[in-house]
Amino acid sequence: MLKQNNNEKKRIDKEYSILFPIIYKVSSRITGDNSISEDLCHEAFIKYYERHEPLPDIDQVKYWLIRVVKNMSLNYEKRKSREKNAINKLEKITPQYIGSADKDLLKQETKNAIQEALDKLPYKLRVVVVLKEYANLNYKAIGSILGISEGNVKVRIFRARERLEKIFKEERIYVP
Amino acid sequence: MIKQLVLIAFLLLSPLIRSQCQEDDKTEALLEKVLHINIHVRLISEDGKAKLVFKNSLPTFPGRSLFIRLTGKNIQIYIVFTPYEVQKKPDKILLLAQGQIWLSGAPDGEGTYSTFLKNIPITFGETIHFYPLGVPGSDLESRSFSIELEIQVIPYSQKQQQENTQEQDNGEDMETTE
Amino acid sequence: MCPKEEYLSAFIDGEIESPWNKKIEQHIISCQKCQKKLESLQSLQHALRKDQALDYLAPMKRVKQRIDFNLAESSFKTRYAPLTFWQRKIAIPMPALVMLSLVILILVASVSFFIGRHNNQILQASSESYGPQSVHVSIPIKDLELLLQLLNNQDFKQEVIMELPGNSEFTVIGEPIVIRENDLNHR
Repeated sequence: MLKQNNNEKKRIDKEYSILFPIIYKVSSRITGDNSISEDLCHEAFIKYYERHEPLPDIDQVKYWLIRVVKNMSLNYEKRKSREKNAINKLEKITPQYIGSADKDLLKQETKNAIQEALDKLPYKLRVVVVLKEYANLNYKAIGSILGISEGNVKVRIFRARERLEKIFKEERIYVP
Repeated sequence: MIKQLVLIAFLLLSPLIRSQCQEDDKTEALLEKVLHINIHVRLISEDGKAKLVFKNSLPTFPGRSLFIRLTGKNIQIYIVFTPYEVQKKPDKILLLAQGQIWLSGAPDGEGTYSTFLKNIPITFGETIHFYPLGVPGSDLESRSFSIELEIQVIPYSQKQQQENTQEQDNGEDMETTE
Repeated sequence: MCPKEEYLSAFIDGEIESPWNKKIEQHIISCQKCQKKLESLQSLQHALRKDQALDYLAPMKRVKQRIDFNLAESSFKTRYAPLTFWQRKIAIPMPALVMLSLVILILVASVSFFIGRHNNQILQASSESYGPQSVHVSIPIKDLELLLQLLNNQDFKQEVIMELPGNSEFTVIGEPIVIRENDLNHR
């Protein structure tokens, strides 16, 4: 009994170390926030481990986790914009970010231009381009995760790329 | 016949017994990881006098956060403390302090909001002082109190020992000069 | 005839099947406009992909710790013998098996929770206030058996709210700062 548990644990650990970087990368790029992404990844993995039946192969697990983390990122996005609106509405409070200049492990250093450009994309376009460029999924996989047709994926990716190009031009970001 | 019944009963029950033992082992293992976060809150006046206002001892586990809120007439401070184990250093913890400070407005009606994120490496039993509003005495013009959080992280095994010495701390007077 | 630009975009993703991919390849050879478009799509893709550096090792370890803990606690949370819940320092009667959110308001006193199994106390949480300030500890409690989950389950957000003394007004003096005891003694 115990031996079986050890093998199972090893398998789970290995699967985790392969999948975490991908899920974390995807989540970070979508939300633009490393520490939020860390929390979302935690929740996503817990949800997976609490399922009754583990999925048969690692790719399935990957798609499942990506779908979950994508949904969580969307919820976070919505909540963030609601909070922003609420803060703006509060008459007497002016957000003044005094902030912490402390150099530390979790805090993102000044975001690089790429992430800032991604942040500017509308959510739907951001998700497809992140799944393409950072999770390296094909259109079929992206379509199945998002529940849209491959044709729709193609168009969205193209629009995302057009938009990004425009953003880079406006910000005069050098794209080598 | 009885022997066989006993044997069967034993075979049937042994997984339960074993799992109960495993559960107890797991409990023990989990309890080993319990960390007590001691937080003493003091107000420090501009002339350096400290007044103890709150004493907290809150148990948690690595990875599990504690939520603290200090509220006052014109201020709200939210802090989330999360301890993390440090690889290869069993008596050290990385304490993450994440928080926000909301100050409501002066007569002109504007309030301010600031956030902070501190990674605090801390050894078991070590005392650290956290000043969310800044170090007292650094702004000579200020006539307000500074807030100090004196923090220690004590593992479960040491907590019992600390219980005995806590009696001595209860007589803290109001005029300690820092 | 130039293909639609979105097809060029799909082309660089390798999503165009034959024979159309061959046709596009042939077209590009002689079409400057499409060549240029292709190049700009490719360099954008390159810029995005090149920006891979994300430190995931530290978050990966931290999340693993949290997960291991969550899994350990969920595997034994149904296994406990009934707990005894007992407060020593304050006399607020605790009804058993009540579904309620308990908010304890202490004006001059302290709150302690002893969580024990078979009368052996295991863990103690305490909050005390000195002076007329209040401490609120709000904990949702389903029933006594689940009380231990308080410590185990992140969903039960145990928030400690401390009200600072009445009329004090505060301002930000400086940056939030952490000082170690050793350093403090040298000041």
